[in-house]
Amino acid sequence: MTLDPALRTRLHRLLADYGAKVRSLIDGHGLGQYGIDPADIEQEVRIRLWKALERDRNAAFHTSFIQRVVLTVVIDAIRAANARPVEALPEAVDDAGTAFIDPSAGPERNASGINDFDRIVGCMAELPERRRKAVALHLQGFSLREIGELSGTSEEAARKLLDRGLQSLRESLAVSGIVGDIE
Amino acid sequence: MNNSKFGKTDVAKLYRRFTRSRAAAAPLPEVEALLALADGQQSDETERLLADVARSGMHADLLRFTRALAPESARLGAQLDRALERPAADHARRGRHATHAATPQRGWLRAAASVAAGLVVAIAVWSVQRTHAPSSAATTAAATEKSDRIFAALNEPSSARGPESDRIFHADFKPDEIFHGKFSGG
Repeated sequence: MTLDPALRTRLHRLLADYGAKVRSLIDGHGLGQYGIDPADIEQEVRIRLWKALERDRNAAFHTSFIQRVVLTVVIDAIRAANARPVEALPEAVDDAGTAFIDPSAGPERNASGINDFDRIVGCMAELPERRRKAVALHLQGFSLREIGELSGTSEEAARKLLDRGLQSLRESLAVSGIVGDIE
Repeated sequence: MNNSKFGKTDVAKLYRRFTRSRAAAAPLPEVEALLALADGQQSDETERLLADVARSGMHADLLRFTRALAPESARLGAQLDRALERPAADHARRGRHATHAATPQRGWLRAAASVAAGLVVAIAVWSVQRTHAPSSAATTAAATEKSDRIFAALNEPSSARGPESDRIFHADFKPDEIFHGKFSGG
């Protein structure tokens, strides 16, 4: 593709700005905790989009295409991070529970957290499926509108499912001995 | 008991914390399913992914990230259109369903699709013409035969006509009772 220098500079700037936004979104959504480097993602996204532009400058860059490029880079990076061999600790304990341990919390609190989490999951398992899903999405931080959109229901229907689900969960948790703040 | 030692449990915080820690064990989502779910589409695939989102913090984060990415990506698409002086596309709308846009083979695919469509139309027209040609002739012949019968009927002898021929003109007219009434004596 032959581009005049001014246009080339402009396109590079657009991709650079977009790359910076992608990086900011990765940081903002905490994706760095899954072993990826936002700077690497930003660079890879810019390279892939530039190559796509070079291949066909007349092709329309639809939202889904651009999103697909970014998500492919992000998911590939997470996959690569997961596949990276983890250095074994000298006194590594073969216990799945250790993966949940928050180093910033004390050992007693960590143990309590794991137990509470298991009990919460156990209580949620007793809920009817639709209520359980609404409650889980709420606990994951999705709004009522988002829960409705993702579940294919109205916001009002999502609210009813969530209210009933939370009520049942509170009762079950109380029976299990957990006084939970679920709002 | 946690509440006695640490106060009320923040269930949401706890749930998020542990479902994120467990993320490494969960299979990574497919990009297409993630895009479809973020777009609000409903299918078995998005249902499965939504279940993963509910129990995996990483999937939830990726879904939120995907949704947040959409407006920025639409903006970039529009900016590229302007920079390259292309007619502005409706990125927000078309982007949702254009799954293979901006691929290098796009021009060839479009040309091939146009040729194929033209060929299909030509074959359809040709077969319609072939199918309808004999039947049209037969219809015309039948019509001619029928029309001929109308005029042929005029040439037929009256004896050939059925007994049920024109009853109006062969009716027995009764004499006019009014004018033949018995005006007795005026």
